[in-house]
Amino acid sequence: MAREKFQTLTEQMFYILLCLRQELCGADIAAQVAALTGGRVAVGPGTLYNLLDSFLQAGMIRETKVEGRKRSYLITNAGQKALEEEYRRLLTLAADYRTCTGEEKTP
Amino acid sequence: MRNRKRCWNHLNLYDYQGIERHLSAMAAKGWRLEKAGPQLWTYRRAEPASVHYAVTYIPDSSQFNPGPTESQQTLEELCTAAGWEKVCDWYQMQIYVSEAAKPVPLETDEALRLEVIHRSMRKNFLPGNAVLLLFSLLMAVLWGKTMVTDPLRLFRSNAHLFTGPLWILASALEIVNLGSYWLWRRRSAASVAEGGRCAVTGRVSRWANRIAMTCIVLYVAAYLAVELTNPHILPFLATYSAALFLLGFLMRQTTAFLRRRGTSRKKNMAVTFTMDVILSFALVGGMIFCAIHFDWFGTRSGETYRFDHFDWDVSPIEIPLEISELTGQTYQHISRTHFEERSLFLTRHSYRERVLEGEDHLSVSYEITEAGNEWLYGKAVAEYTKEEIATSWDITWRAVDPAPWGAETAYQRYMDGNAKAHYVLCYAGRIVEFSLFFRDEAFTETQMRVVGKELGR
Repeated sequence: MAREKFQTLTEQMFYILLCLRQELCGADIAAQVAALTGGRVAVGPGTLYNLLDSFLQAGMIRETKVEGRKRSYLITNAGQKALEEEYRRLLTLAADYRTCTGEEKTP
Repeated sequence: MRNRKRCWNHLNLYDYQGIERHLSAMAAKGWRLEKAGPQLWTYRRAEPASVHYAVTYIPDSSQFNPGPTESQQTLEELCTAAGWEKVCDWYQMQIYVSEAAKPVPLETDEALRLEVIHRSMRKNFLPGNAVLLLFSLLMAVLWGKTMVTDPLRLFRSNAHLFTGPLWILASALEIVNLGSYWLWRRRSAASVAEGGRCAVTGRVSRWANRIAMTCIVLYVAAYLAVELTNPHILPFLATYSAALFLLGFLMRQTTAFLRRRGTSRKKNMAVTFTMDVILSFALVGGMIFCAIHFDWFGTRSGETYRFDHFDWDVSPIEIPLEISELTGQTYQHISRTHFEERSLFLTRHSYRERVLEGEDHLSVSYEITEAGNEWLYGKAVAEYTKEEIATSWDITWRAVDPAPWGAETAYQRYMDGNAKAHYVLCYAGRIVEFSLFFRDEAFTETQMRVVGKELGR
């Protein structure tokens, strides 16, 4: 089920998983995504909460620390696999684009 | 100048856009949301300001939870970090406010928003409205069936008559609520699938709610205005309204008390539900007991005394026709009752008198039905003269000479072919059903004239 749900990742899912390759608390994830994308991708707290909840249920991230209300997370192997598959999918898209537009031949 | 006010919330749980706009507009007028009750929302006075309200949903939230759940705390932590302050929650909806000029939106993924809203709606909104719809439809259908099979039963009481359209109105409102959610979700799903945003929420249901609420308030006010002309119904209505209010108050207090004690959600729900059922039965039982014990409907004549194993009235009530007028004698021991049923279209008075003559009990009972409407008049006559073929006896009615009664038409009851002292007498706009239970159970011509003179007017 979870695998099917995350067959492809949205931009926000992709960047959250990417950021969680290192342990981060929820509040820092949003800041890191914004920093990483130069503000192009914003993750609202409501969306972040629901995505973290979905990732946890799908076993793609795990909770590492709870300090009061502050919870920290880290990507799991399943999450890493999903991230890599998305990366490969994006590479395939880029390769197809280059093939179709002949961009590779451009010096 | 009051610093708090309570307003009726007419917005649906899924109508996040409507609620965000409404709360921001209230803040601009100087009223900030403080608490969201099931229907009544409390606002406190504040400096008018341009602030942003945003809502999100947590499907596992419940008004029965002992405190903020882990999910709610985690969300609050994330929102606080993003500059949003928690205001309160309303069922699954979490309401936040931000003073920032351009705050980060709470939700940045429309597909996820739609999915979470639907999961939340499946907790309260959909099952609650579906149950209400089924119940309202069932009541409306039963009312409609009675209107076809036994219309007099409805036309004899304003309460019975008025409830039917109320159930129809409630069914229509539920259909609009559920239908507009279904439409909104369908439109939103199509929009989100194409990379767009969720559709504009509940415009139709918002107006339907407003119109329905106005209709219900006007309708109930009209019902009360009509019903309050009947003095017998006043104590019943007043006690019933007070008891209903008390029931709601006790339910809310039970839930709040258990929440304060840290009782789990499931236990709180179970206790509240059990209390609800017990108190509802107590309410209905208590109302029946009080109606009989305190004679709310005025059927008895007050103080009684015991004689010869029977209760007799100390001061019998006045009734239109007494046994003494039929027999020409006076009686020492008398018992009388009077019961009135009244609606806008029909009035029915039922009288019964019993007297002691030597060792015999003589009694008469009669009903006077007044119906201005020709259709209702015909239905009432048909109801009185309905023939019954039972296993033990056959009841039939035969037309008799109405002249001695001064009536337009008259019918006499027969049981297994034997004539009984039981008549239905039809006058202009008035039907009298009269039966005699004494002596040889037959009327003399003089008695017929007395009945016609006293009851046929």
